[in-house]
Amino acid sequence: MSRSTTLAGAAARVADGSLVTLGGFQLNRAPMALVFELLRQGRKGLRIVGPPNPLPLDLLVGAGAASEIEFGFIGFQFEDGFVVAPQVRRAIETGAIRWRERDVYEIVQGLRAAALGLPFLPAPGAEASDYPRVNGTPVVRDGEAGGEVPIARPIRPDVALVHAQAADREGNLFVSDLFAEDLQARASRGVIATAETIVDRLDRPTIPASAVEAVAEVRGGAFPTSCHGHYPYSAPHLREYLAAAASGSPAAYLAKHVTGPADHAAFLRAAGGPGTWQAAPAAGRAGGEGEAALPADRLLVGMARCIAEADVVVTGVASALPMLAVALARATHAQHLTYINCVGAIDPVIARALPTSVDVRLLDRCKGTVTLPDLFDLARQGRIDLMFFGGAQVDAEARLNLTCIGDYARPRVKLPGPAGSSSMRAYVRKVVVGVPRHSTRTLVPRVDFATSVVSPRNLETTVVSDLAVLRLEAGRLRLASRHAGVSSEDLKARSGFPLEGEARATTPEPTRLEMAALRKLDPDGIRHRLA
Amino acid sequence: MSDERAERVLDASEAAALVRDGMVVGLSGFSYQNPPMALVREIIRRRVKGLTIVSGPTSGIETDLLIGAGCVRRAVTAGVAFEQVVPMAPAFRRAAERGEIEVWECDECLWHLALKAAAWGMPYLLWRGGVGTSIPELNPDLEEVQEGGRRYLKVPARPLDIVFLHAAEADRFGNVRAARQAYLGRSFCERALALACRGPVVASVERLVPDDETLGSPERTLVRGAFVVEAPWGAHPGGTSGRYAPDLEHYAEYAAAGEARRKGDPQPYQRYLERHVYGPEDHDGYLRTIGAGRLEALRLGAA
Repeated sequence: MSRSTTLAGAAARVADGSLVTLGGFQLNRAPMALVFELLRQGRKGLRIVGPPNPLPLDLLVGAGAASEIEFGFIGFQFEDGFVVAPQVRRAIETGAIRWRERDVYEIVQGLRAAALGLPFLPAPGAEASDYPRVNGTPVVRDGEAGGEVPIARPIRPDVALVHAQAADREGNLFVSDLFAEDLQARASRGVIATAETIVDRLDRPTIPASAVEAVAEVRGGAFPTSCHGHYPYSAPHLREYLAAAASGSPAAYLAKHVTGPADHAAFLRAAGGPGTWQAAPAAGRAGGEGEAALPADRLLVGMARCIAEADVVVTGVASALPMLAVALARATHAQHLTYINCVGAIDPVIARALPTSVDVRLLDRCKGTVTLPDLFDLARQGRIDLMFFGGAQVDAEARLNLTCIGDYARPRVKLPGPAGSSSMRAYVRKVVVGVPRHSTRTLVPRVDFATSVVSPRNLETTVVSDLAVLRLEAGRLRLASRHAGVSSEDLKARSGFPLEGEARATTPEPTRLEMAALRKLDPDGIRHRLA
Repeated sequence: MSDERAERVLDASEAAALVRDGMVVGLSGFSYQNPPMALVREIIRRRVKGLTIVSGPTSGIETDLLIGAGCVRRAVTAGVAFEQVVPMAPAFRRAAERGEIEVWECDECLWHLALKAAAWGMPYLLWRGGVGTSIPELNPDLEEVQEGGRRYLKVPARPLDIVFLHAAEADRFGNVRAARQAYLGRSFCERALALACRGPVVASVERLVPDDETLGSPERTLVRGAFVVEAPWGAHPGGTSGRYAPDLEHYAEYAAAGEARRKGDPQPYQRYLERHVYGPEDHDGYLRTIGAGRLEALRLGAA
């Protein structure tokens, strides 16, 4: 049976008011052509749920096509730095949309419950954060262990929108960078897909035709996000989008790129995309011998030193600096570490610093792959030694805030959300928090919202900033050492809570070996811009 | 990438020495495909006792031989069989009928969910399949519960102490891979077993490959961080997906010996064990009992 159709025909199958889940992850393989076509067709009242997929979410919200959204993370990192999806953020800050935020693991467990036909699945991890309070997270009594366990109720989308590398006429899909689409397909009532190419017969389907209702051949169907093996995400187009969105008049962007062009091909022609696939950049040459270490160097070296020889290390979204720290540790003192990047790459080769940690080119040279849902399981099994975290606020008891400034329901500033940090932090042995700019805005007495908190399973919690190294001891952050050239008065003035501890200890300066490795990994100094 | 990472290559006797009496052991294999036979024979040579075997959803000679050699106390399985050769594997049938082993009888879904619960770090998972059947009577740990007016079985997690599997290739750092030619069989149960394991995962492989080969096609990596044993023809008499077909004549010979023992004549099965398991000192010795010509005839196409 042929399930092959046109883009318009595929999008027409999505009814107003549908619960929709979007394939892709961060700036990778989002079903952009389908989303644009839904906007062209004037779809309304969509409800969106799924893994972190900020660009299509922002477009749907900004164009008024989405009435309700549920997400774990709405930020992304690219060449210009870190961005929170501007129209989603504005809609939340002005109370213009119904929304719910929770840890991505809870969304994964909800999708899994739907896929298995179960009434719920346990989704532990975030119980000590502020999320159960604001979400009213349901719990069950665990008869064996005693106590209550948070659960996720089934999430059963009406449709999953997926862009694939290839499809066949029967509707089998091939995806070379699988994030969670297999799960989304099983949880949903059906998949509507686009593919770069439609062939007669796929011999290695990733998602079987039985789950797929319709598929349309759309070259460049993920543009301006990436399509692994076909084209990278487009930083210039993202820049244009963000400029339009930030100006508060997304209508101009929509008119020019979405409703204006007759179809996706016309949009691509006008937008000058998509580009061509290129390998990840090769290693640089070590240079700049003898130059003194800068704050970003001390930050990165401090983060890298937290990694022990054989640690299994994970980085999440928006983790370009932690990824560089992992590469630095691997090049210096921790050659036997195992690195898992949340884009799904196990032990990827990182020859050179990248402006984003979720770059699917990492999948081209790596030792194995892992999907997003499986990554959460590794944490729950205690198989992850160390994970890097970040926060807009870090407080005296090492709580982290990635959620909001001000009131949760009507925040003054909407932050990107927890991604998987609320649940993952509860299960890793070593927690490392990178703070690029140590200041009273970041190091606060008490966070506005506790996105993640310390867990009894954490053996070590370390905060590394551009000024100092702090360690959690007896429930409070204490000073372990000040970096070279930082006075105690300076540190005090830039910390929002008193720092007891090693008042006289100085962090050992980056060694020549560390500096040489860092310059080779990052000859262009991306780290200074990121920090 | 540094080449100074920990190498994880063992020989078969070092790998088998990781097994202790009474362990819960996962074994790969689906019917005739990918049983870790070289390692199984080595485990039997070490006269291990009291194992709980959790083999592939439908398992075969890897489980039957361990039972026949007296290493097993308990089998968690949805069936031990040799398809067209014999509908029920003879040593499994004999031991179960004589009450010499316990059988945690399940269907393939329950088998999979028990491993999934372990992999997901859950004490149990609920499942509707099996409600109203006799399966919970056979397995008292499958408790029935009500949730939202519906009846479910609570399937307890089945964490494994050690897993043995067989695959086409691996690098020396423990990335275990399927053959490029294999699609069916790429992941019958290897990932499910490895993810449910709280101890070491040991893979015998047809050949060790250079590090760079692994980097280029990560989608073929089934399991990472495994201990690796190079054992060409290591699944024989089973097949290895993408490499060689099962030796059905050998299966028939084994099944006849097992059936004879079940019907009261222990000699043929004892001769089988002596000739193919206890007699040969190691895997190379076993392969000599089969003969190179016969093995080559099983090879699939050009590798």
